[in-house]
Amino acid sequence: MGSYSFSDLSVGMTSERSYLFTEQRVEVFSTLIDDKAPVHVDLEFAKNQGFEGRIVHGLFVQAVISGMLGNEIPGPKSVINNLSMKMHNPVLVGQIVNYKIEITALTPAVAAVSLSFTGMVDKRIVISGKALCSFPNST
Amino acid sequence: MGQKIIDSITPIFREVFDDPSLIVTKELSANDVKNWDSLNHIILIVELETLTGLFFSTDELVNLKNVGDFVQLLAEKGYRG
Repeated sequence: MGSYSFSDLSVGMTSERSYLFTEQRVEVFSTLIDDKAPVHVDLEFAKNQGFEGRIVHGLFVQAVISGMLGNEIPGPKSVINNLSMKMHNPVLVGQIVNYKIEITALTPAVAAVSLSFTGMVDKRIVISGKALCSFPNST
Repeated sequence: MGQKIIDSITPIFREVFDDPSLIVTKELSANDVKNWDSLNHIILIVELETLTGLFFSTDELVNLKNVGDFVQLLAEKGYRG
């Protein structure tokens, strides 16, 4: 786990993580947020919708980014100010998403860190977006 | 020149503070805008640096009392809007 201060960070720093969306994890997430839409929990329904299998909640796919921001870069001393994402392709239950986040800009005046992120399944992009984090006790 | 700068930064203020009808004036300050809290202030500065291509120091920002002071800072740094 990174424990960076703002001054430790530089543009171009990256962090990577792989996350397996198991059936159990998706089930727990469905229960946690009370979203049991059939495309997430009913295989036949999902197939009838044209998917190869049940699809993972988009916000679950994004949530892993939150963990990377909070645990790796910028790390535990930072908070998320803004997070935006685009879903490019569905993630199926049982697939592994390979995430990468990268620092794209630093704003020292307000101790803010701009980042971009992507998630890939094999060579196919499934999610991309931007995040803005800051260090509350640095200014 | 001041009004041209204000016109160029107004869309950012409206987006950050989620108020499409916000009128940005030289007298406007954080006390006048409902959503101008510490978190949105950070987003505002980041977006303004991106727009103008300029960088600000903490010392430069801490003494700003209102938009007029910020417009003056931008002008001193060569931004014309």
